[in-house]
Amino acid sequence: MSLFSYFQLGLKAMHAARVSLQVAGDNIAHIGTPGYARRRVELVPSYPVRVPGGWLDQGADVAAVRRMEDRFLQAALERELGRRAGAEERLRALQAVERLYGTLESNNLGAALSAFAAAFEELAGQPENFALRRTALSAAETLARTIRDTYARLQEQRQREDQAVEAAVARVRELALELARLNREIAAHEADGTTAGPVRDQRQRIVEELAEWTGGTAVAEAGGRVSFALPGGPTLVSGDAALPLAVERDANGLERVRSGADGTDITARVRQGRLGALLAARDEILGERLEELDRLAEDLTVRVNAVVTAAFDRSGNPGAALFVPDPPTQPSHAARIAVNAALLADPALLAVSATGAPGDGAAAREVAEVVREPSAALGGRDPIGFVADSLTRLGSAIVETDVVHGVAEELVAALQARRDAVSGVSLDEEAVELIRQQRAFEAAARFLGVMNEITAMAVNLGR
Amino acid sequence: MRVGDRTFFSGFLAGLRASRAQAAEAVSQLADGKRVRRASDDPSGAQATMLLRARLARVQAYDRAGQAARADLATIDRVLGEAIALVSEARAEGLAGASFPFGEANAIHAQRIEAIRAQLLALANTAQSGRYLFAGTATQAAPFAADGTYNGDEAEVQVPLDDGQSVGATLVGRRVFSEATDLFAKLDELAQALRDNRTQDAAAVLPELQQALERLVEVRADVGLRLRALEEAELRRADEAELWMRRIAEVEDAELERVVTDLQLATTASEALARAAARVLGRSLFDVLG
Repeated sequence: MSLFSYFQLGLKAMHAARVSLQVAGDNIAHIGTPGYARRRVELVPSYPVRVPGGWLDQGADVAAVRRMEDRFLQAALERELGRRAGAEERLRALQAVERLYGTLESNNLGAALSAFAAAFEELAGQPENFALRRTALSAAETLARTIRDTYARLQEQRQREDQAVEAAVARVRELALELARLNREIAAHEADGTTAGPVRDQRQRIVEELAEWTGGTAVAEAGGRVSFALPGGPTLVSGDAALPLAVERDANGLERVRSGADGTDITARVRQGRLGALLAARDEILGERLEELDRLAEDLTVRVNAVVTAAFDRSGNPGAALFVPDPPTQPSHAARIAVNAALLADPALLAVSATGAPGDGAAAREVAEVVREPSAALGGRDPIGFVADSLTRLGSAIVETDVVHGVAEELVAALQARRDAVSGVSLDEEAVELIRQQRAFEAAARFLGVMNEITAMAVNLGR
Repeated sequence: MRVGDRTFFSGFLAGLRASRAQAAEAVSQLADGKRVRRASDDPSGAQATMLLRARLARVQAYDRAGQAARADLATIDRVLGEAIALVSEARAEGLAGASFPFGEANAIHAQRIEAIRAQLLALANTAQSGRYLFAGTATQAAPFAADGTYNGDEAEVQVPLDDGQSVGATLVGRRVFSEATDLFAKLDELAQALRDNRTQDAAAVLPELQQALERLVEVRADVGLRLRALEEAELRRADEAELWMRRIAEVEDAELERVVTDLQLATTASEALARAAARVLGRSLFDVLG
């Protein structure tokens, strides 16, 4: 080895320390960057040379800047991120629906039903009392309005969930296209065997967001690419190609989700991740509540009207229906239930007498009993019990989802901690690395200084 | 396990969030004194309170109807008291007339009996809050015509006492004034007999008047029983309402001591966590670099 080769060795050492310092600085800079996996410099001995007595290394070469990650841990985290996001979205939707029903103290629907029954109960004792007739009609009007308003609010909420579905599918589409583009970029960058760390970090963020939206996971493919599919299909990204989801409005004005691969309707199949929770909120949580309210309105209309039309008004004439559809063209019972305007204009027309005698309030008592009597249309429950059951089921679903969300939250935290153990940046470690590489750089510089002096001495020998 | 800085921060942040949420919940419970506001706070408890509230509303409706019925029955009781006094007076007039057959005096007795009959007719047609109290359920028209014909019906306005039990709040006037003895006809008969100085005929009417009197006393006693039943039902309902309200409160209301303790715990945990975070994160190897 010549004296000059020692300069090369010193330079390599300085280069290795400088790159290591740069990587440590980069790690520190990215301490808060989501999806960033810390880097480590991988040093290998330079090709050795033969010297008398054996082989001698020619310093250290920077072999690679490695991105520290655990693929299996990452896949588990993606799955759990989807579960957490789904539970979070479901919890939000359930709580929004529960808020529409008010608090227990001011539970509008339950209170309106109770007040309706109480007003007719009171009227039964004084059926000729005009003030009580007005009170009973007012209670009936409040009940009808509460049902209509609750139905309208549930429908508005359903509309909002539907808009959120549309926005979610658009975002999933965007992410799928971006993932396919990054797949192509990574494949191009890594053709020489290196790792395109920054692009992989970027792709990781995309994959995690996609997992949150859909509950799917990424699967590694050849050439550094990943594919991404929804649980149970369809595939959103395969290699360089994206097959993004699409939406199409159905006859009810609701968005249907279609597969990008073959255009099939997968709305009922998508039940995971944020998108799945939005679809479940729209079609199941809200759909069920709307159907229940419609059933309640129909049951009340049919049973109350059956009583009053068989009874007699204050003048002894056959009774008119208490609840009438307004507007009659509206298909939903809950959206159209209203109190007969003729009765509101003249409370004497309210038929509460079973015999025709003005002091007979037996029919008013029967109307009050409608609210308390079990009905086959309500699954064997009375209307108040039916409303209470519905709210209890909603409350239980919230409690259950909250538990699921809490568990998912803890699992995500645990997996993130495990991932951070591999990929996360530790400032203490980087500080130690900085000191170590600073020393290494100083030592290499000192080595070069010594070699410089030796070289100068060698040159001076010839003078 | 290797612990990255993000793990530290995430842990501290999650801990702080949890204690803040606990503190916020405690403050909210302190603000309105409620532990259960929505079904999700306690689903089974919420279901129970919803049903209890419906029962409470029913009990309160029964109560209002019961109070109105009590007012009607109290009036009926007063009217019957007056009617008893009037019939006794009529009987006394009849007895005086039948015992002393003096034409002029009997004409006065007959006049008094006619006046009593008119008063009785007015009492039998007593109305309160637009309701004729002796008309059965045909409450919108005077039950007795001037000649004493009954125009009401044969049913009573029923007011619920409790589930399945009820009490009549009006009376069927025919049963009160003319079922066993047609009081108005007998008073007419007595007055006419006295006016005609037919003392024996007048005396013959008197036992029937006594029967009518006993009937009125009997009916008044029945009204008294109805009033008592209403009062007892009212007391039972008051107890029931108190029980329902207490049960609702047991489910919904917050236990202040527990809430205050929870708040204290949450605040202490939050402060301890913040101090620990400051201590751990305040020390760095970078402090010794340079």
